[in-house]
Amino acid sequence: MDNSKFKQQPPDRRIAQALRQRLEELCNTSSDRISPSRFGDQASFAKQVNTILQSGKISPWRENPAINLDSPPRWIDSEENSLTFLRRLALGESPSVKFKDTSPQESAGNFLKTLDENKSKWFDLLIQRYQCPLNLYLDSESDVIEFLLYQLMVPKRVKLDKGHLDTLNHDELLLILNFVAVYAAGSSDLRFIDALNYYYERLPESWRPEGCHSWLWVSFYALYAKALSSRS
Amino acid sequence: MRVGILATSFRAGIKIFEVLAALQHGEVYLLNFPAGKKVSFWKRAILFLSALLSAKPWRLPQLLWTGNVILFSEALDHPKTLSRIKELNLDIGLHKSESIYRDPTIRAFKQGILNAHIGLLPQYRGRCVMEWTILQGDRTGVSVFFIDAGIDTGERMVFSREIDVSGFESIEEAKSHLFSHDAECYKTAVQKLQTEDFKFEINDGSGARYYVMSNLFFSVVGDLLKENPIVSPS
Repeated sequence: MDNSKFKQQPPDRRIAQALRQRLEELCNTSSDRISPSRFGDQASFAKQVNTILQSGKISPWRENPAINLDSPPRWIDSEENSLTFLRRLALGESPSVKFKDTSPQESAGNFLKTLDENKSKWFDLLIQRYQCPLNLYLDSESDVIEFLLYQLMVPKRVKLDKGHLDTLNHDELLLILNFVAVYAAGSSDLRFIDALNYYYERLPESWRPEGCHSWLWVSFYALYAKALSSRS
Repeated sequence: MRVGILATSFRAGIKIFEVLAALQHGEVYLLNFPAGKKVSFWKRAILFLSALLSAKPWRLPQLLWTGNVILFSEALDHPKTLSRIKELNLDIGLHKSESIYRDPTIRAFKQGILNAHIGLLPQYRGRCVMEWTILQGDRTGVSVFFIDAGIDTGERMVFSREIDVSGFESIEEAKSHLFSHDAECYKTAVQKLQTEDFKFEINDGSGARYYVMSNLFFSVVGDLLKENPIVSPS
């Protein structure tokens, strides 16, 4: 039996087409989903992101000269903190980065143990380690980005699908979605962009995240759009 | 070889039972237990009735009489169920249930529990693996391996086999086609395990773990299936 049909017609074109359609849909509906009026003192950020999305001019990472995602060989340092870095990426800016010769003292394996022992502190622990979220691309961090994907697609997804969104820590969920979006933009692994697809489809349009950093919902849209743009 | 089919419905297990019983190499049991942890009277009643009304209703009384079908009133990992399974002194369990197997259940079988997984290992572990395989332009198939406590990480793989699904109109049909091979796959696995020079293939866990797929990619997979028709899938 010939089982090579799919291989003879690589589905890349189909996937790119679907992601392009999703990007168009996202840009066309952003004003409803992330209406500035819903974000209080972050309204101007939401407005800026909406303007970018509605213009349809989403620049993929590869067009940003400051961000070379061809497997950064060393730990990257940033003058910004993690959250500012995400905001600037969302606005299409180029945060300043410099390569360091040293890695963080705590290995990725030990960091995962720290996460396991401090389940209520994930938000703080993640932003401390990934001051520059681009470090998630380092080979040494592969177990961490896998762990974040697992968190999104197993325990948090189960709660989302059961309609128990209110039981999740929204800041933590949105931070992980932002990190996975940053990673998905430069990764060929389709599982990461599909986690974003999944949350885009399931999170209610009228959702109002509760927490100190609800603007991460806005940056998620911008970074998801960048990931779609990079792959389509 | 003494084999026990772990099924949460008689209908699901009887096909495998008939194929393996025809081998006439040892004893085959259909272990029918209710799904879930807490089992109500009604759940037990429904289990029995659905078995009685299944495709071959005359087989149930017959097999109950011979002792080859055992209807458990408790869930699989209940101590009473496990104790009875151990008494049967089975070599192998065959997965045809909705259960997640814990170590005590796996250890109740001398060699362990086999799973006919609808993806080619080690590349495709986890959920929606047929869909992910098609999405990424790879070959679809089934892998039969001994389960461990992880997600499709059991190292001892009996065999894997490519099975084409490109003639099917929908994801559901394609998936059903792969699942429909389970009886034959289990039969082949049992036969292989009884050969003297048999050696396991190693599922080294090197593949990625896949997760539930988005609607967007599901639609791409559906389109890919329709775009790749063949005349008669087997």
